[in-house]
Amino acid sequence: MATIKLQGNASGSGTVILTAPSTNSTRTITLPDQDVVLGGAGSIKAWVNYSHTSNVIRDSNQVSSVTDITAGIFTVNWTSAFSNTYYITSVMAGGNNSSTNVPAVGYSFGGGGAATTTLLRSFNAEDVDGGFVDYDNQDVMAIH
Amino acid sequence: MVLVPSDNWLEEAKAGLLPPISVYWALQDDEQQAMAEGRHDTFKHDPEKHAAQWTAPRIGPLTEEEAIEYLIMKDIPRHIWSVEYNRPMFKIVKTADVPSDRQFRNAWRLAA
Repeated sequence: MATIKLQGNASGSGTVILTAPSTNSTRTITLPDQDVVLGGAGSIKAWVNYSHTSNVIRDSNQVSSVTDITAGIFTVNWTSAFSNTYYITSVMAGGNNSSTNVPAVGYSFGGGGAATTTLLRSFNAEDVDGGFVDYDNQDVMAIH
Repeated sequence: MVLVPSDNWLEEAKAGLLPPISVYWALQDDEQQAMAEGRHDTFKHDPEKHAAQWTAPRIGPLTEEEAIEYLIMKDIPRHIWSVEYNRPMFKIVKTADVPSDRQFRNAWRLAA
């Protein structure tokens, strides 16, 4: 029988804590038969599927809230602050049943264009007239 | 502006998994100071303060209303809710009470 071994690190002094999720179900972690590094640099740290048209968060991870600013503009508030502002984000928009709403998507960090570790401000513009518009599917993720 | 809470985050709040709000404020203060001093491009959080998001003692289970108040203090700029104005600056309502029409949703403003 294969075994699981928890091993400390003599060169460090911190405590590593495994925290159970808030659940009443039994969850199973199945490890692949290869070496892996969990949650290291470059992994997806937060994501959200947000409907800007109905102003509803369909699902998310490590996102505490979304602030609807105005048409086509919203702010994603991360549950936990990033250690710096050099995280990578991807913002996608779509889902509107309209041939004229071809999304052009961009983002700025925080208010006034300054980067912050706690939030991401996103905006979209339809390509016909450049005006901001809500999209039914707003997908945002952050990698760090 | 309308703030929409994440259901997953609300579950964590109700389960008592949140750190004291002061942990987030300390991080926000440090970052704001870096911005004010023009060194935000190279800013990096103090590792101990950053780790406190996970290592600080949890505050215990919150009711839904308490969780929303906590979320406001975490995600809404402090000048909006910490200063007394001569008119209400925000209102906590059920989702069903938020206008779905953009014209009326835009009438809800948080910024001063």
